[in-house]
Amino acid sequence: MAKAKSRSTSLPEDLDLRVRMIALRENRTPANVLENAVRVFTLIPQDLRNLLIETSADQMKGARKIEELSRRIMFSLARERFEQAAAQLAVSGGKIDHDMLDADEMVVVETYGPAAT
Amino acid sequence: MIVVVPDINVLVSKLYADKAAKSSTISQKVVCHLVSGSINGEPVQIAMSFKMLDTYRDVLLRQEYPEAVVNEQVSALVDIMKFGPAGFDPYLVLGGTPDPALKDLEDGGVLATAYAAHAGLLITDNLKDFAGQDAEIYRTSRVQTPDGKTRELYCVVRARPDGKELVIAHPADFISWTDRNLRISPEAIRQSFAVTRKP
Repeated sequence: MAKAKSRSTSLPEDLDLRVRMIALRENRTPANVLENAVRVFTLIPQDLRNLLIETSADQMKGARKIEELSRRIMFSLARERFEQAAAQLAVSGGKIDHDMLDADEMVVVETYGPAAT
Repeated sequence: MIVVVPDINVLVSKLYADKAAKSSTISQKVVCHLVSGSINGEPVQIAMSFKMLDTYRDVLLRQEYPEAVVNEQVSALVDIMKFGPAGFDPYLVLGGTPDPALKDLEDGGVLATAYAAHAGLLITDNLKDFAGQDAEIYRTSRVQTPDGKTRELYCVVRARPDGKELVIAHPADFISWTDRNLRISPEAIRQSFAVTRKP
């Protein structure tokens, strides 16, 4: 096991409250939450670290912006998983319905609507 | 933002096209648009109920696709919905009570999902079952399959219980409209296409 070093800092009250809330909600110790936060933070490239610090400094909009950023990351990861699973299914031994396959290759030969804008 | 319900047949067709090593088929383009998060710059939110996901899963298992990978794909699809721009949670839409106006119970469930999700668009290859009473029908295009057969397509506009409206379109029309940058809304459909009689 790697040797552990003890570091100390003082947290503002609101930040300390957030740490304790996460610890309580996720059944972890506050120290574990802090250790995880430092571990993730130190792995993030500096540009993104700076952006996150700057964003979080805005009390009003910061949390919402970071939430939106997280959503986009999670969406992107889910999309990647979806595509990976699709690629695996494509090389599996599953069957194909050829009628559906033919119908899927239809082309629009005439449209009754307006021309392209 | 537009909330879109893709019918199961679109997802299944996409899988068959992938499996047959096809590229740029209609269903492949539809799914590509939907999972990209936006359509012509407008954010898109996929909405499906767990009942629909179960049906998708059942179809693939019947066709002998590996269960673990099917489950992984369904789970990823749930996350795509949860982390979409509107954060849609399939647990909140149980499939609803099938619309009695529709003969096919499964299609009734799909329509109930679209209503519950406040969807603006439902994409399906199975238009006929959605063109029941109280539906407006518009003639949209003529398509041709690789074997030379042609088919007339139409789209359906139905009133949702919340007072808004739902457009039900064929995947080929959806792609045609998206490629031509046409806005997909009941108003745009009414302005662009002529009403037709029931199919």
